[in-house]
Amino acid sequence: MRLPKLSKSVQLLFLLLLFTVSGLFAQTEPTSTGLEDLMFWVKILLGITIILVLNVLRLVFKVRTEEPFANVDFNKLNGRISLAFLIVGMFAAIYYSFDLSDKYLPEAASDHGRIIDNMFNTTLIITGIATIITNVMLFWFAFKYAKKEGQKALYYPDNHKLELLWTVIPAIVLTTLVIYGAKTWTEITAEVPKGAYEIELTGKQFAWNIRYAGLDNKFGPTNFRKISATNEAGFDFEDASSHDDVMPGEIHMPVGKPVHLKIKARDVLHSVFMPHFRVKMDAVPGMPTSFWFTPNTTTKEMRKKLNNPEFNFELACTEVCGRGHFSMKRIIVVETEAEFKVWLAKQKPYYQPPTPASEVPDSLEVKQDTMPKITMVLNK
Amino acid sequence: MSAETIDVTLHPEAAVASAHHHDSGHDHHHNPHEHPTESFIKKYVFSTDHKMIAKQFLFTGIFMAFVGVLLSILFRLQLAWPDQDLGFLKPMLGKWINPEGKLDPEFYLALVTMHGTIIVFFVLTAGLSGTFSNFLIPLQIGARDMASGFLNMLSYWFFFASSVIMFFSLFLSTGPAAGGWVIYPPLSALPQAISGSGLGMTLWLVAMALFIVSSLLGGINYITTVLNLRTKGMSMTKMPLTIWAFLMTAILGVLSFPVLLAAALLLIFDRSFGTSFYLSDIYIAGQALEKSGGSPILFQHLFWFLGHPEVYIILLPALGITSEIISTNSRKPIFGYRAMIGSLLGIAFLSFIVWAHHMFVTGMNPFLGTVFMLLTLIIAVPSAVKTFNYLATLWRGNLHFTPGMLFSIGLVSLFITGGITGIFLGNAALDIQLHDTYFVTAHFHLVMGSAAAFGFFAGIYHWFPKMFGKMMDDKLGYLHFWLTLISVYCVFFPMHFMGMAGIPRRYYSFTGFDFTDDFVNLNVFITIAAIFGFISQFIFVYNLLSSIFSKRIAPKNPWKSNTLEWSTPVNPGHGNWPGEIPEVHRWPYDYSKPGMNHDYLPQYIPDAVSEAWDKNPDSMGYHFDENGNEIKDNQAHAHH
Repeated sequence: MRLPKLSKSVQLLFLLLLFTVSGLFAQTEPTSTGLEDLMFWVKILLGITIILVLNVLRLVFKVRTEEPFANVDFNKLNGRISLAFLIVGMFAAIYYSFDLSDKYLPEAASDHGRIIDNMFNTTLIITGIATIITNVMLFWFAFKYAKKEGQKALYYPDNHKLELLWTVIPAIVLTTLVIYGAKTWTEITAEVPKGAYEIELTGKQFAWNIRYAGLDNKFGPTNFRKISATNEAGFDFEDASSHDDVMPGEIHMPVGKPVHLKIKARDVLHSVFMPHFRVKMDAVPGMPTSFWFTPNTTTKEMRKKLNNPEFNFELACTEVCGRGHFSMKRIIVVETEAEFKVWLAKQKPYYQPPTPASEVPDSLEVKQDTMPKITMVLNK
Repeated sequence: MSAETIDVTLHPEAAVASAHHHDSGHDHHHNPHEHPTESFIKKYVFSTDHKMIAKQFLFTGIFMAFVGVLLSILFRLQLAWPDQDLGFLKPMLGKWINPEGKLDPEFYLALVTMHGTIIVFFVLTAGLSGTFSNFLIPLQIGARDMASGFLNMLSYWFFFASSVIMFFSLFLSTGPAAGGWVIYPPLSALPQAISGSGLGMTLWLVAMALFIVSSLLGGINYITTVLNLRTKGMSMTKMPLTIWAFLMTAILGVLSFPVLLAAALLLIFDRSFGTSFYLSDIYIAGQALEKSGGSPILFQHLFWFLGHPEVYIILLPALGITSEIISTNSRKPIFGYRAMIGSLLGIAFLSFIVWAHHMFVTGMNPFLGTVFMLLTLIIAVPSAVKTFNYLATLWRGNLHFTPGMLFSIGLVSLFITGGITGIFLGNAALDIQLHDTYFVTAHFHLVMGSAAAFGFFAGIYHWFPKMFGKMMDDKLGYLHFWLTLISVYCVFFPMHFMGMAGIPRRYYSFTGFDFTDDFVNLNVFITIAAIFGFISQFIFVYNLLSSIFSKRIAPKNPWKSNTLEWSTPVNPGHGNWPGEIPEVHRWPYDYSKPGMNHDYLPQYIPDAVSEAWDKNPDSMGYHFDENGNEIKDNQAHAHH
């Protein structure tokens, strides 16, 4: 039995057909955020596979009567595919690296964030060049030196100068990167400057508790054994310094002033991640951690810059912590120092002097409203 | 070497794979004083033959790989189409799909956890090392078997028991372990935190304890065998790079796995016996626990003290396999043999002192961060040396594109592309943004997961003729290679973009945040490519199984290779060589030696006969005395 041999032109027609049909589908989709671009490659992939599979099937059926691959030089063929893979792959990788560049590394909104981004870009250029050169050599050699009649390999077991060359050059490049990295790292992790605004973030399943020290600028002492539904932070209310602590549902920060995050966790590991500020630090039960930085763009400025009136800075969790890990969201508002002070002064303290009328503090109710909607999923 | 083992060697037809090979013509060549045919159980189940044990590891590894990858396809469906009704998975996942057709978020984490655990430990550690260290060490160093066949058998059966328990835990009603493959406490210690930390986690720990026992038994055996049982002339610097890689891998395993066992034991104590090694100041599920003084960070140090060498336990065997295959099929000596050994030693040593680069943002002392950044980035130097040596080996070669060769070239590409992003992640300052994002996922899936899997494939395609006495279908091999390479790049390359945008790992859904919303569509693309890659693997499975039963009998030395395993009969029996063990007279990489007609010169050919050998390689045996006179082997061999 034989399948009909598809001529090259039929195969081409088939590909075109596939593209047109799937193109029609793509156009009916309301969203247009880069998916069509990627679907282009999906289509190419699909097309190539279908053609390959059809060809293989044809050859498998053919095999009963004759040796189907007798005239195929597979070394040459694989060499050519290597070259094609190199060209298409490089093109796609470089094209999309530029095409999507506005999406990755979201606009940095902190002082050290810009330094990190510069270092990232430097590293990207150096490693990008190295990756391209070595991959080009690899697949080019595969194409160029594919087995041929009469080709003899060169007996070339060693060359100390070459070895030295490609030991020393990477070593020098890496030393530079290490020094650059160590300098930046040391600056970022330096002592907290005096007068930094302090914010306490406590990770719990599955939300962040936010706490400001209030008017007295002093956090009330807490103890995890005192935590309850009406005492989220585990305050010792007998200590008066806790009475003015506020626990709002949003993080507010002043622009241009150092902010000191004091990070805690009360059940499992969590991790504070503020992507726009290039801030990440784990929250560890029993071991307070901290991170300080200086936000340098207000939410309003950022909205204007990105031309997106809906934009908000966000806080997420990046250490797996259970079923709601993906939903630990808080909005971060960066504003001028004056606005920040006004906002802070308006917040009601968490502590409510005991009155028979209400046992639940107002701030708790506020928090319910600002909880991300996604948590609804969690209540299975 | 026990007398019994040598006796078995006089039994050339007792080849394991020839069970289905009904060539009765061979049956009357039996030596008069040989043992009766081994029983089925002794030959296939509780075998002490390293070649059979290798095949046991191979098939268990392939089964676990199927399970591990299938789990990833399930969670990829969730990531690509979070709003879609996944009700069609209900027959498979049962209650983990809720009535609205949504995947349970906790089971999503369980899928991620078990995918990682199974692929890292059961496929790429035990499957890869177990198969190739077992199969190749005795054959390539010229030994009849491992130093202890019995320990070797135990090593497999501990692994088997461990696999059964780990696999079984997938079906628990509370779900399997779900706290990530790194099982950080307190999440992994507290069933109140996630239901997978109940019985699922217990079974995970039990399975891993058995796994570590298996790994240690195997490792000690590999080290002893390489150091003590090399044939005459096989000095350390005449060993194939595969053996060097397996040796370093075994040393890494023996030194680091006990630390994981310690970490796991302390976790078991914390979970079941009320200790607080890792737990302190915890308020959970409306209750403050009576645990204090422990540190979750301690666990991370212990875990990564294994965890980082583990990366190289996975990668080094693949690199060794690749070195051997690239040299053989380029018909060129591996470039810089000693530099390759040096870089292996360098990587192995450094892998022990870089573990805390997984912990830059845990709040550890920033000065430590600087130190670990320095040590981590140094690893790039031996890695670069390896890459350039591979390239120099290919340069001006005469490349024979066997499927094994293609997978080796693919490995080098993945090693470069995936490895280079380690320079970002090893940099503490850049790690602040990239830690625990898809950038990390992209990095280690390319450099560790896919590269090692490519080494696994390369090794199977290359040594299949020795394992089963048959040839695989190379056309299906080519198809398998190109489809796999394309899908691997399509799956993991785009993840770099997501990581740079800050998209965190282990998220059930990306719709809750504005900053993660941009790449929802890219997830569809990745999932399609992943399914495509998964389906492509069935070409391989079909090829593997059908080739075992095919009629394509392998020639004795199909790749015209120099190493000793190809001097054994096509189906070597227990004991490997029917007569004396060959002696070694040269390094394994004399390919395309100037002045010779043939482009290879096996290790067992002394200089004195190399000219005569070159005239007619097939006329000669494999055993010569010092003067170059061939020693005719015993009658069993003379028949062939």
